[in-house]
Amino acid sequence: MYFFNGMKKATEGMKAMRTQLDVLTNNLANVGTAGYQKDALSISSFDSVLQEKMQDSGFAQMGGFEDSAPANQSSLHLRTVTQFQQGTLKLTDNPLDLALNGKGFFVVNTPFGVKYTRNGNFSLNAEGYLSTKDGSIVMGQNGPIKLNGDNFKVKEDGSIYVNDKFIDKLKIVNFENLQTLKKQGANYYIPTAESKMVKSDAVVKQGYLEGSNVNPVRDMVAMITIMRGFETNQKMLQTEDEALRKSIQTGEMR
Amino acid sequence: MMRSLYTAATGMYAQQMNVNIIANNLANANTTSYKGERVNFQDLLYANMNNGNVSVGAGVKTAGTEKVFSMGSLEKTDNPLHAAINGNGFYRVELPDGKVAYTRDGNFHIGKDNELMIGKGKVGIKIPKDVINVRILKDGKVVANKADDLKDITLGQLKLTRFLNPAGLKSIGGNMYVETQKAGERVEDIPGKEGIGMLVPGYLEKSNVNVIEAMMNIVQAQRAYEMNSKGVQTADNMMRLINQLKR
Repeated sequence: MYFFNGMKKATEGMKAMRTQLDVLTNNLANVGTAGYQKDALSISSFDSVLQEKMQDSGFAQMGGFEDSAPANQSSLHLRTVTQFQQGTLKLTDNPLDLALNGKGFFVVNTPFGVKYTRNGNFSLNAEGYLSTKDGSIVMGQNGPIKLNGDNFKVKEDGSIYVNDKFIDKLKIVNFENLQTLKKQGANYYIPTAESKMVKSDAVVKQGYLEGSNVNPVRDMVAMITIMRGFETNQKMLQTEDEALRKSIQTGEMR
Repeated sequence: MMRSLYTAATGMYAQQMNVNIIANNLANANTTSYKGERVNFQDLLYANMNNGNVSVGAGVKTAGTEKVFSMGSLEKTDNPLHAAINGNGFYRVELPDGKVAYTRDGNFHIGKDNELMIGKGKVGIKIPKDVINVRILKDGKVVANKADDLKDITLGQLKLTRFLNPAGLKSIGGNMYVETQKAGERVEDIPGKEGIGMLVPGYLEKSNVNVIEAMMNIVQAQRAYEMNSKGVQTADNMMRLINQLKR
């Protein structure tokens, strides 16, 4: 029954708006999280591509077959995209706070495998190694970094000096396809097969933390747009419903 | 039902914590040697949908608070038993229960058993009854002289302790901190040596809370709170529209 197509499209639109709001509220909630990179939702229409392909193959000309096309014909293709942009560096005066200026990630050995982060809010674990606040070890080029001394300096190229003695260089990596990285929570990212690790030329600033790159004004305006988009789709659904009701009534009179 | 409702709520809660911490800092804007605190945030776990094409987060959580150990400004008091620390380091004291604590508070006084003390903690230097003019010198020596003699007698040597990660110390109130694993290695020496700061007699270190900066941070936290509440409202409006679909 082809008139259900309109309702399906409106529902897909509403679902997309709802997911869009999920992404936006997550950005806004993390407006103060160190090293947080904002997400955006890309919405593209799937069926326009499919319709073209169907007409080319002569399938649609067989008459009345539009609704027996693949189930997701009128669905929207949603994809989250992390927008990697440098956040503002904030001075904290804590020698164990490190920030990256440029593209790159710190490498962290967690109990669940190697993860990557831009959050340089570091501390010491029980054995005296440089670690994240949840106890996972931060990696240098030669492995974990033991801080036995009372003076800890990190130079801009990532080299670490304890009591003026060179210990190791921080391991900082970048990825060629940043869009293939997945967020894991607790400010961590993990790569996928297509990420391709490359060298990073980011500069390390000691005593600074990178703020989140969320643009609240943009996200607030986007929320208004979503709300209106949602309302429009809802009205469309109601109109379709009304049209259906009228046609049923009309049928009944016969 | 509406994930964004809960996500925005986590944002509001986090900003509320933020305001609480900043308000506490402001309340201690005049506490001697007080060190301000800040909150650290982390994003929550992400859910993968649509074959992993869509990854949505669940909001934010507070990952803990930490003290900021920047120096406060020095205030002249002209009290010979006041000595602020200019630079890195903490005074080491022994509390009445035997615990060792560290403090930046340079407000010394002579306790009832003639012990030189900071607050309730003993520094480990005894002041004999027959001396006058007890003062602290900038290299940490505690000197005095007898009533009939102008010559200085050294009563003891104050030492300072420096930590790799002062933010890892645990605050127990009263300007006192206890050592933890996170504070890292410590080095004890006389003031002026090995990167340890010098003492400034006759001065006290004020709170390091910058009131203007704190007010600015509170305003920002308030606006962030409002923005997250708008997220809650929008989610609520969406749910209302969904409910209105069927009449």
